[in-house]
Order: sequence, then C-alpha cells, then structure tokens
Amino acid sequence: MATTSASWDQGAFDPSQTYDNLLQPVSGYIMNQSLETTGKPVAGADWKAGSVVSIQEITTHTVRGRTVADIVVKAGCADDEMPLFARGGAEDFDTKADAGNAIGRVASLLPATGGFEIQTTEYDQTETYDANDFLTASDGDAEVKKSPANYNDNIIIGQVSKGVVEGQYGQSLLQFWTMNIPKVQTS
Amino acid sequence: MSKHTLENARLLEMLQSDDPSRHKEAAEGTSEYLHLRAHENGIARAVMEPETITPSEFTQQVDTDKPCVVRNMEPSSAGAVNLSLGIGPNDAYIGAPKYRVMFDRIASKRYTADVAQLSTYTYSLKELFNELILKDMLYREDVNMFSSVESGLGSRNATDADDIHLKQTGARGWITVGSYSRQAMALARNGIGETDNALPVETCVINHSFVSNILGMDHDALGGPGAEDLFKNGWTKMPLMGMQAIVTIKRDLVPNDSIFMFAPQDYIGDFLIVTDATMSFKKEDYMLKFFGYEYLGQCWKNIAAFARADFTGTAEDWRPDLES
Repeated sequence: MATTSASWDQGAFDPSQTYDNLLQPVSGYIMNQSLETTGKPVAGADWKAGSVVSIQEITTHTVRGRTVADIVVKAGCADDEMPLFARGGAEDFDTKADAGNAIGRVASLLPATGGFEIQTTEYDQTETYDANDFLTASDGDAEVKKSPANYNDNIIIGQVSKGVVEGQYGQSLLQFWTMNIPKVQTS
Repeated sequence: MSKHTLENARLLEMLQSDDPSRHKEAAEGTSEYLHLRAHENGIARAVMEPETITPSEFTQQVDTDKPCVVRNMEPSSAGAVNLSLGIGPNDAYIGAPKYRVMFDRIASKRYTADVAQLSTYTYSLKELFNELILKDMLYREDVNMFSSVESGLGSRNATDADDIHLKQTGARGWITVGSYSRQAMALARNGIGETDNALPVETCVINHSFVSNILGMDHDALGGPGAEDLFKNGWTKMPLMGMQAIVTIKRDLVPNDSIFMFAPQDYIGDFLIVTDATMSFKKEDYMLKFFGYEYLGQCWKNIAAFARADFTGTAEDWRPDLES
C-alpha cells in the first residue's frame, strides 16, 4: 500500500494524511446519478480507502415498522462476488468515530459494473502494469492485483487504462476501468 | 375545496417557476415547517436539546477532513487530605479531559414526482414532506442515538468486571427489575444514581405498551391519586417518579417493558446542528426531484449518564458487589 507521508525524522510522530490511501474516480462518476452504494465494514476490518471489498452478508433493521436491508462488507472478493471499490476506509472517520459519537458508520462503495475509470492506492505494487492488463482480487485481500494470463481462471475486476500514475502528492496510483467478469466455471 | 388547496397551489406555483429564487423560497418555507415538526417528534432531540453552531466553530484535524468540535469534560479533583502541622500537601498537576464531537450528514431518499400529479393532492404537501422525509431523518437520528447509547450500556445484568459500564462507572448500565410494581419502578429509577458519578436522573423514554402496563397498576402500587388520573385520562404529561417521560411508538428502538433513563443534558454530551432539516427541490421541465438533509453531530459521551431497565426476570442490583 502506498504511503507518502513516510517519516524523515526517526522516532517522531507522523500522522497519516487523508490522501495516503484513496480511491479517486477520474471519469464516469456523476453524483446522484452513478451506481453507488454504502456498506458497513465487518467487525475488525482494517482495509483502507481505495480497497476492493465485497458483500459478506445482508443484515436488516426496521424503520417505522418496515424491514430495511444493510450491506456488510469484507476485504477482497471471491471469484463469483460483485467487486466493490471503497471510497472510505474501514477505520476512517465515516465508518468509525470517537466513542459516543452517533454517526452513520458506513463507507461509500462503487460497484465494479458502474462504468468508472478509477485511480487507487491499494494495489499490488510488486507487479508492473501495462495498458489492457486484466486485474483481479482474492477473497480476504483488499488489494487490486494483476490477473494471470488465463483471465477466465479468476474473477476480473478491471482492465488497466493508464497504468501506474503519480498523484499530486507523489502517491502511486493504479488507473483502470472497472468491470466484473466472474470466474468461468469449467466443471 | 380542501383547506390545503391554497397552500399547495402557492407552493407548487413557486416550485414550477423558472426563477431559481422562487425554488429557494419554497425550500426555505418548507424547511421552516420541518424544523418545527422536528422538535416535536425526535427522541434524541427531546433528550438533548440541539444547539445550533456554525462551521467557524469546527476544529481542523491533521488526519481527517471530517469536521470536529472539541469540548471539555469536567476535570476530576485529586481530593483533600488531613495534614499534620508544619508540612504541605503533595502536588497534583491539573489535566482536564477533552473529547471530539464528529459530524455527519443524514439525508432522506430522493423522491421524484410529476408536478401535474402533485397538483392533484388535496393532502397538505408540507405534511407529505413531513411524512416522507422528516420522519425518516428523525428516525435515523434516533437509530444513531440508540446505537451509541446501547453500546455504552454494556451487557444486561453484567457480571464481567470488564463490562464497559461496570468498568467505567462501577455500576451496571442495564438490568432486569422484575415485573411491574412500585418497587421495580423505584429500582429502575435508581440506575444512574448508583454509578460512582452519582448523577441525577431527569428524563426517561418508554413506549406506549409500557404506559399500558402502568395503567394496569392499582392505587396502592402507584401510591396515590395518580392511579385515578391515569385511569380517567390515560397517559398524561406528568412526570414518572420525578423523570420527564418521553413516550414513543418506536418499539424497535424502545422495546416493550424497557425504560431508558438519562441524566440532565449537561452530563450526557452534545447534540450540535450545523444545518437543520432542509429541503432541496430541483425541477427539470415538469419533473420535480426533492430530498431532505441535515448536518449534525450527536455525542453520547458520558456512559454514566444513561441506563436501561427491563421489567422482566428477577430484580437485580445495579452494583453487583452489593449482591448477597
């Protein structure tokens, strides 16, 4: 994961900045029009903004006597699950708060089928990325990864557009178009 | 002609106008109406009177862009000692705790309607917005409130020393008090006062079913002519054992046979509003889109300032170390 606010002063405090971990839709996102949803992180989740997550379960609560569904999300996605890209982290102040604060505690999520071109800090930085490379994810791991050559062996969650670009604060960002092609079952 | 027809016609005339200032006028008029209704219907707002603040009071943070306000908690004193003559007291350095109030936006769904169809409504459009939008936002405020309050109450009849309420206050936050009786009511009422903080209790929240059970108590159980008043008039706004009772129909938040009790607001925390319930109207040709939103911070900081009792099971003590 990218962290640009690395400490230069040994032993000093160096608080993280809001742009250290991020998801940035660069095109395709129109507020109030685009496909988007919100979800509550599972207990103990620590994925950052920009991560790929998926639905773990649907819980319900009642509002004025009606049953309302809530999405609970986990890190990563299995081969047959809808990839969701998190705009906020599981431990950011939208999803967590100081004790006693009554806030919504949900993260904003962009479904992979929403037709977005996004930049994220949360990708496997040990790989190199070329235009048109397929991207994948695995269950329990919030990083976007490069897909093996046989694309139908695993879920495809995106295809690289500009590859790795530098953000305005020096972050390494992977830029790609989102999509969802579940693993092809051969058996 | 409906009594609402003229008011509706005026509102629709403003919303159909191509002049954006008229949309603003409609939004302001409707929002003002919703503000009045909000104060009548929200549980959270009844327990803690909202305080309106401006963004100039926000404190900037390094690690988040989320707006925060920093408030002070009452400092604890180090205590006084008896001294022999000729010596001075030990030192105690002053340090006062602080906490952050964090802010969030609550919004309704975005509704859409053809203006032509809205003009057929004989029902008050303002009341319609109240039903569709404000009640849901207030419900969300109350859901957030009870989520925070319940997480601070700990377990029912807790015996684990690590229970959040026991550990921080020396007393349980949530007990069973047995079936409805005068003794059970008195035991319930004592919860907040039994903590190490020994705060006064001011408000309680109960549902309509709870009221029916009180109505079933006889003269001896109620201890006076209150029984006759209740029998004749149903629930009145009289205090319940010195607590101001808030009666709600939100049974999924306040279950049957449960009472939530609260200390005075100054001891609880903060309810800060930056933008009170506001209507947004947008007209595209003849289609009207509207939703409500508000921007606020609720902080139920002091867990010694609230308690819950369930009128079921056996009567338990608030302080388990008092159990025989």
